[in-house]
Amino acid sequence: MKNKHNYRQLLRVVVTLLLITNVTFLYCEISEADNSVNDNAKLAHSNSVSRKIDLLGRLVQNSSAAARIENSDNDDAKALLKEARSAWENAVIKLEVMNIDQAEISAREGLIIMTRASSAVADTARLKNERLARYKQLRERITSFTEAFQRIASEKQETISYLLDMENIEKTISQAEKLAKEDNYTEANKLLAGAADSVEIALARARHKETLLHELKFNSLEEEFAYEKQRNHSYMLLADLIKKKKKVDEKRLHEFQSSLDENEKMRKKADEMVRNGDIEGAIKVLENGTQNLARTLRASGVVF
Amino acid sequence: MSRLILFPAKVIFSLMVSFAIMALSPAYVNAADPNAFNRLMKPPSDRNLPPAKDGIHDPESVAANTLQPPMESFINLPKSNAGNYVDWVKALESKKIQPRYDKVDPNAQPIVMDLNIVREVKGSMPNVVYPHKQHTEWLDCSNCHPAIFIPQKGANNISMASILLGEKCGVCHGKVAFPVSNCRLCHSQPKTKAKPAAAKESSQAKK
Amino acid sequence: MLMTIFTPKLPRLALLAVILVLTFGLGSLPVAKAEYGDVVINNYSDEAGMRPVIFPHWFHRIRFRCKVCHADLGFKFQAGGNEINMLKIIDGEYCGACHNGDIAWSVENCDLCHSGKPGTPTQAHESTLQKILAPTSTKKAK
Repeated sequence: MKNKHNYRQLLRVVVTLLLITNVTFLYCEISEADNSVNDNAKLAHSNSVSRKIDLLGRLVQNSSAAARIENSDNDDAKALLKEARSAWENAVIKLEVMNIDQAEISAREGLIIMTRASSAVADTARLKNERLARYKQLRERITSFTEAFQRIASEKQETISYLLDMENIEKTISQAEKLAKEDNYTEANKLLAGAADSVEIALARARHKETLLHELKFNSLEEEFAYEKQRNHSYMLLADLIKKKKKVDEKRLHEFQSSLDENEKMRKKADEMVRNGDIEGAIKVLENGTQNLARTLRASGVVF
Repeated sequence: MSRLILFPAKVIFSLMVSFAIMALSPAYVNAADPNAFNRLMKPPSDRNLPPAKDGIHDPESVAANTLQPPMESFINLPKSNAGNYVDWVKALESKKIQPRYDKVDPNAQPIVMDLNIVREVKGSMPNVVYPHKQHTEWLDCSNCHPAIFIPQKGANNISMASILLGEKCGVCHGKVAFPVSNCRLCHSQPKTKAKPAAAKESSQAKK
Repeated sequence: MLMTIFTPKLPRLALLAVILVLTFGLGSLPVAKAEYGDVVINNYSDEAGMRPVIFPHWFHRIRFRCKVCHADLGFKFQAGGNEINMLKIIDGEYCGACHNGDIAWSVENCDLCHSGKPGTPTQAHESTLQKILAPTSTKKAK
């Protein structure tokens, strides 16, 4: 009886001890992590606040955005810039007296205000360039899409020209050109975007649910040889990169290098065979070379 | 008497339970067991870690605890076996995510082109089926044409090496889109069916 | 006898199991790589004393399709290949096209973008090429 009782008591004690140690351990880990995080965090925090203030300072003083705002007629924006500047000065003062939290609040405010000020005054030069670039891009897009559509139309047996209203597209383009001459690129781009979408939809409809088979059929043996040579070259480039950058151990490196040298030899042999007129043989040699190179790459851990 | 036996039995049982939890926990399998299955594969416990633990975010930065942990976001998305371990295409199709096609207009719709390109490959690997449909849901024509792919048969020389080097398909796949670890996702058309007519049908059946 | 283990005393049992798991189960998970598709941009950050920027593709992919940033806003498909600086952002270019206080939060939240470990080079994190060139080791990285 007493044994039973002691046994159970012992168990209870063990369990309680375990519970206590675990809880303490957990608490210590959390609070220790907490403490070290706290110290590091404080330092990191004050560093990040001072960087924030530096950025704000650069932006409100001598940035192109500030210059743009000052040279504009927008009084609201100028007022915002002034506010941002005073927020910056405020933040600098607070940082000097080590009131990090207040400094951060001022810096954040300053950045928000500066962003608003900057967006209130459009960078007309940049926007103009962007609009012009977009205009050219859309014109090119419409041209290449309509060319593609016409190519498809001529390839197919049945007619698909009903899918695209070319007259409408051309009318839209000339309208857009007129607007562009008047320097109204915004409206021109709107028109062109609509036209581009129409041509894109026509293309999508022309090729709806189709499958194009790109076979490995070459027009001539020379073409196939060029293809194989380029393919082999791509594996060489990968192998070179691996040799340079990957830490392969000495023995492997030796094997690797000899495989690369072997490939070089194959390439030269293939070139010679072409010179002697045996293009088919040359293609086979290159194919084998590529296969061997691929095998070496796999052996070095490149998985493909 | 029976109570005396039962209580230690329960203790032993709970000990077994806790050791079982430890043993089955994948993190411990890899750390402890040299003969573990798929030793070098990233175990589920290592995937999609929160910013504070993911090895690249600075755990001492404010961001580490403010940024959303990826797992929170991925928990309801369809799974996959590589990359983010999320099947983004399926997520879009099943409307689990609704990313905008226009910066400001949430209702803008993409112009989707449903066109498959079947590329015959040398050797015994199945031919590659490239589906425009899944790509045009996300991308614009100008993203790939003509800068990365010339829209003409025979004009693009693509090899696995070039993909691994980050060219052609490798511009996205293996960097931000799903990696090329699962061959069948692209090499999906066995060579025996390589006739264009049959290819049309099989392309409709696929995906 | 086994059946009798599942008695109403289960809560105590569960507590014991929890305690034991805590005792032996505590330990840090091995640190693994970051989220796939995260782009680290460190063109000017190190010199400026800021942490490098980590752009999470996954978060943005849920809200915008690729075309919006890569066709409409002019972002190139290259880590570090866009000349982005704070002034351009405030002027509404690149990131600033959305992170302007209207569509998304604005530039006052420095650390939400500049969140990388100092010194991390510009990269597309966990890209295939990066993994190929990484040294093959049998130990868990880091």
